[in-house]
Amino acid sequence: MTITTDSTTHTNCDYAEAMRRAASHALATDSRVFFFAEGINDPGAYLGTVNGLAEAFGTDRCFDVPNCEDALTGMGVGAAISGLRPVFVSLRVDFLMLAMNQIVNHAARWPSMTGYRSAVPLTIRALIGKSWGQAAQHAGALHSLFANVPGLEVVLPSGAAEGAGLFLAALESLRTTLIIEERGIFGVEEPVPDELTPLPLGQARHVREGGDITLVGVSSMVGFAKTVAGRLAERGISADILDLRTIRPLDSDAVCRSVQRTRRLAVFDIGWPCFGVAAEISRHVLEAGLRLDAPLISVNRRDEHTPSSCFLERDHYPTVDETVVRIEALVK
Amino acid sequence: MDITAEIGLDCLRQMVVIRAVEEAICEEYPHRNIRGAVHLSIGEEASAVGVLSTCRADDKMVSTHRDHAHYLAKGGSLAGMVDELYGLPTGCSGGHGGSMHLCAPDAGFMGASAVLPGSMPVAVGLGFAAKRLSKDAIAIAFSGDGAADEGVFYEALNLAAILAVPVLFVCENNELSTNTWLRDRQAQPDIAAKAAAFGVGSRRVAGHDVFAVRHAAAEMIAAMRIDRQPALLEVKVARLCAHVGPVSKVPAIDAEAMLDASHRGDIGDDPILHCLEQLIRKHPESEAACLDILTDVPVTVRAEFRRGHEAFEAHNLVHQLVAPPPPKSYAV
Repeated sequence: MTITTDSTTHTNCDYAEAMRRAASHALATDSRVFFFAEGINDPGAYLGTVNGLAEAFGTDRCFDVPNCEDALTGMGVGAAISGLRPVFVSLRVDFLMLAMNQIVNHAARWPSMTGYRSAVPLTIRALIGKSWGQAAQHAGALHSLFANVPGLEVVLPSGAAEGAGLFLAALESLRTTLIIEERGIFGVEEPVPDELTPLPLGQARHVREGGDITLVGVSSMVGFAKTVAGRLAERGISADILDLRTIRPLDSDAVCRSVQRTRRLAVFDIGWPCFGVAAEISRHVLEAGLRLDAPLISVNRRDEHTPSSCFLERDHYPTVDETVVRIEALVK
Repeated sequence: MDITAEIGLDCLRQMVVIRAVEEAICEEYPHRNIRGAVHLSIGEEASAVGVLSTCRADDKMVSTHRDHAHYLAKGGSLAGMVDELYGLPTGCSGGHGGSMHLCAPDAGFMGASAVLPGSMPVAVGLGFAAKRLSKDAIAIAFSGDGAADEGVFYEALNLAAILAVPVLFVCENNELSTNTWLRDRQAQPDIAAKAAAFGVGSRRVAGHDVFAVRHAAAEMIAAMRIDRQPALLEVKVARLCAHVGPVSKVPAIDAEAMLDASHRGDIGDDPILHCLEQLIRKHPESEAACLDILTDVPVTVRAEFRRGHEAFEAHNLVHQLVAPPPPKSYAV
C-alpha cells in the first residue's frame, strides 16, 4: 500500500525491510560502505535485516566473519580511519561486552588521542533480544553504558522509518555510532518514505501534542508511551510525547521546552532505572532550573537481570496498566 | 647481506635520531615540563628502523605505548613530537595524545594504542582498506610479546588470515611485560609458532641487527604486496632501559667512544654499535660519515628540545602551571 503525504511517497513495511532497504541504498550509492556480521549469509540473519545483501552486492562488501567481537570492532576502527564506512552488525548488544576495549579505548578515543586528525566513522548495529525467554545474556539493554562515553553516538530507533533514516545518518556521521535495536520495534508495519534520507542525530521527534505531562521515550518505549497516552486521553489527561531517537547526543532542549509547558515528566526507558535515561534527563531539567509540579516518573525494566521464564519475564518489564495508574495518580 | 653505504648510513642516522631523542627526554624530564608516562625504545631502534625503512608512506601502521621509534622511523616530524611531549597545541596530536599517542597520518603513522594489543585488530582494518583501495599497499601493526598474553592477539591473527588481509604483525619480543618474564607468562613462549597455529607465515630475526631486520621485513613485505596475505615478524630485542620512565641504562651517544667500541667489536646488544661495526667493516670509506652522524644528530636534536622547552615556557606564561615535585621513582 502506498500512502501519500506531502510530496513524499511512502510504502508500508516493517523494521527488517526498512533496514534492508536502507542498507541497499547505502551500498548502492556509497562505495565506501561495507557490512560484516557473524552469520550474514544466513537467510534469517539478524531477523532478516541483512538478508540478500551479500547476493546483491557481493561478498567483498557483505561478508561473514568469525566470532571475535573485539577484533571485528578493531577492524572497523582501522577501516574507518582509512576512509571506509564499515558497518558491524552484532547479533546481541550483550556480545559487544567482548568488544568494549575497542569501542571505548579505541573507537571513541582515537579522534581525541590524535588531536582530532583522525575520525572513526564506524557504525555498529546490535540487537536487544527482548522477550521469548532470551534470559540474562541475550536480552540486555546496555545502551547507557555506551552513552556514558564521550566520542560515541547512541541511537535507539523507535520504528521502521526512524531506523532507516537514523541508519543513514549514522553512516554520514564521522563518529562511531551504535544503533541499538530492541526486538519490540521489529514486526510493526508503518509507512516508510520511498526515498530514504538521513534523519538528524541529536534531534528528538515530537510524536504527540499534549499539555498535561511530558512522556519521553526511546526505542519500543515510544510505542508503549503512545498506548499509555491513548489510555490517559480517555481519562482526560493529555500527554506530550517525545521520541529521543538518540541518547548521545541528547536533545535536552526539546525535553526542557516540553517540560516547561507541562510541568510534569515521565521517562520511558528500555533499560534499568539506575544511571539510566531518566537520570540523565533529570540532570538536564534540573540544570535548566525547571520546576515540576509533580514527582518524576521513571518507567523501566526491573533492576535485575532478565529471567527466561515467561512467568518471571512478565514481571520484569513495565506494563501499560501499571504505568497508566502511576501517571493518573500524579496528574490528578 | 649486501647493504649499500647509502642505505647503511640512512639506517644509522635514523637510529641515532631515535636514541638522541630519548636521551634528550631523559635530560629534560627532571625539569618537569615533559609530563606523563614515557616508554623508551633504547635498545629496540633496529626493529623500528629495519622494518619501516622498507615501507612506503601509503603503508599505514599502528603502534603501541612504546611508539617513539616507530613514529620517527615512519617519517613523523621531530618538531611535532617534541611539541607533543611538551603538551603544546602544535604537537602532532594537538597535545591530546602525549608520548603514548603520537600520530602522523600523512606519513601513514595512524596512531598508537596503549592497551595491549589494541594495535593489532586496528591494523587488520588498515590492511582491509589497503586491499580495497590500493593495488599493493600493506598495513603494519607493532606489538610486544606482552600482547601475546591477551586473547585479541589471536583473534587478530585469525581474522587477518581468514579474510586474507595484507598486514605485517611485528612482535618486538623483549621477553618482558612490565617486569615479568615471558616464560612466566606464556605456557608456550614461542611467538612465531603462535602465528603458525593460524597458518600465518612467520619469521624470527635478531633485533640488534638492523640490516637483518630490514632484509627479513623487505622480503616479507615484497611477498605481501603480491599475495595479499598476513605475516608475522618476531624481532628479538633487548630493552636496554626501564619499562617506563626516563631511565636509560646505556651510555649516552659519544661518537669517538662508539667508533672505538665498534672497531674493537665490543658491541654487546646495542643495535647502533652493531650497525656501526657492520657499516665500517663493509664500507670503510663511510667512517667519516658515521662520525658526522654521531656528532651532529645529538646537537640538532638537543636544539629541537631547547626550542620545545622555550615554547613550553612561553605557553606557560599564559597558563602559569607550577611543576609538580619530582616523584620518588618512575616505577609503575
